[in-house]
Amino acid sequence: MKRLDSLTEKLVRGVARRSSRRGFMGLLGGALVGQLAIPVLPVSRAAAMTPEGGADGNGYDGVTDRPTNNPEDPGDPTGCDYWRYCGIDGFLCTCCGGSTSSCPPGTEMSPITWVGTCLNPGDGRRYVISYNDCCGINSCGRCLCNRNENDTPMVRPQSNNDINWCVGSESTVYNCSTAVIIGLDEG
Amino acid sequence: MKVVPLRSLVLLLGLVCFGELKAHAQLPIEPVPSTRTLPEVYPQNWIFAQDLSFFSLVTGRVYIVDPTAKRRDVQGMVDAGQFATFSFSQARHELYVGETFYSRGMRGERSDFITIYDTQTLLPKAQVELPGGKRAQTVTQKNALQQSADGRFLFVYNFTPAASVTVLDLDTHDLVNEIQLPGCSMIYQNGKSGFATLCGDGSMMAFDLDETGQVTGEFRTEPFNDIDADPLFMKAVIVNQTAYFPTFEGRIQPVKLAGGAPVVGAKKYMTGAVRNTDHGQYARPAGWQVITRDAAGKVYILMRPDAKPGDHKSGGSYVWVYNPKSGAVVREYELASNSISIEVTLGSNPMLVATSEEMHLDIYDLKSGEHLRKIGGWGPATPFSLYAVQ
Repeated sequence: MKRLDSLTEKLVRGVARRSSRRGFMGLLGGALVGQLAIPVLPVSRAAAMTPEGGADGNGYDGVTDRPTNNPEDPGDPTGCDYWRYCGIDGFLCTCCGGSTSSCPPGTEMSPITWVGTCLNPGDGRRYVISYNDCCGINSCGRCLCNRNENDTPMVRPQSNNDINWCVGSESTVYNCSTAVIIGLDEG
Repeated sequence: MKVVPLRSLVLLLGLVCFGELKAHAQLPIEPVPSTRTLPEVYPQNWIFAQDLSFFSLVTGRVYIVDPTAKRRDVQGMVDAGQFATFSFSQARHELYVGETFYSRGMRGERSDFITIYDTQTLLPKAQVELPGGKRAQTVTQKNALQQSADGRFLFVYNFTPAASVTVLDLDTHDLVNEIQLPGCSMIYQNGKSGFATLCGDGSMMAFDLDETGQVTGEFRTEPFNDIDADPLFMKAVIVNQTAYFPTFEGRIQPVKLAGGAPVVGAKKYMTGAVRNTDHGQYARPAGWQVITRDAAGKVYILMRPDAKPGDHKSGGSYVWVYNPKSGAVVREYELASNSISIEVTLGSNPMLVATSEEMHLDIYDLKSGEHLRKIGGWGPATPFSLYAVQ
């Protein structure tokens, strides 16, 4: 938990220092305003994260570690403290048959999403991450991860994670969340 | 060794059994089928605990709970799945669930309803279909489904992401209006039959409605909600027609909602001795349902000591009691565990109920602050929202 909190804090401060929500909006263009927002929900940290797995473990009991072994994309995408998840809130698709960039078989990737900017400790760059939901199958139930660094209240829906963003899919039933790199944040 | 004849043994056994039967009256025959019912008007000690059912979102429910009971704490439940919303009317003896279904379970044709349940039988007595597949699906929260103060209308928040409010006449069960919200979210009672809503530019809009649900007045305040620096939580309580919103930094924003234009009051930090303690200075509201009120109009706020950025949903270990008249924190409750939602029951034996991080309900005596018991054991349920029976 300490490691996670420390990382989280570092990321928050980094993001807060070097970017703004308005910057994200500008980057993505006005056309997307109102359609960018995070999938899913606040759940207690106890339920959401169990980072007891040690320095290299994902922290989830019964979930096999799967580190990238890539120093340029470091960490374990099945762990809540993986760098891309700085704004995620939901079940990690990496634990549900999908990956950070693809949905599990049988689901549909939501066309509208929330995006965040996360610092990659591997190269020191900030990347724009799109948290597309995967929809059409009931809750995955594994690897619940809740981080609210970039979350604002629902009065600004494009930056709120209390909304089910499967609203843009054929079925609004939520399964899990991805964390897709869609660009560098040059702002 | 003397052999006892088998016949004697049987006789002896029979006598023993007969003796037993004679000592205890026969248990009464129990008629089947049998299903309990509840009182038409629920005791004010009760609460509704809405299970978002995060681990199976299509299958949520609302538990009806008596937090004062030592034996039968859960009285019953109604289904409320797929990011359902909930409200209730003691006067009409009805419960309202806003819900979404698919014709083939998780897939197929979508349909949205307000399902109206009878308080005694917990059976649906009416279903009002909401057209257009636009009912908002969010983490469960009170302000997504509200009644007008006079109890005539039920307001349904829609989000596609275009936002609107559908107006349901609870007398006739007719949908009488849909009011577009220009970038605004959630519903707060305003006056007798209207509502207000918070907008993305930091302002608040309000609508007055006539007895047919048509808009007779539309109002917009100057921006007062600093969404970048210190946003208002979307949760509020209303005391004497004034809504009190906590902010991320721990200030309280009053807005008078007596009908017509909302009157925005001064946003202030809470004062008082508790506020000035070490943990008080750095405490911030945190959790999901972070604010509620008691019967006397005192406001209760869930607080997290030493809160960091991004902790606004992480839950708190203290509850502060805020006197809206004086602006001061007048009492503090220390919770048994970190909690995400709070509610106060209104009966003669009031309780503070908190949804713990482990997703059970902690029950505290409101007068003494003593932690009396916990209610849980409901598997992976996630009761995020609590509603005191009025």
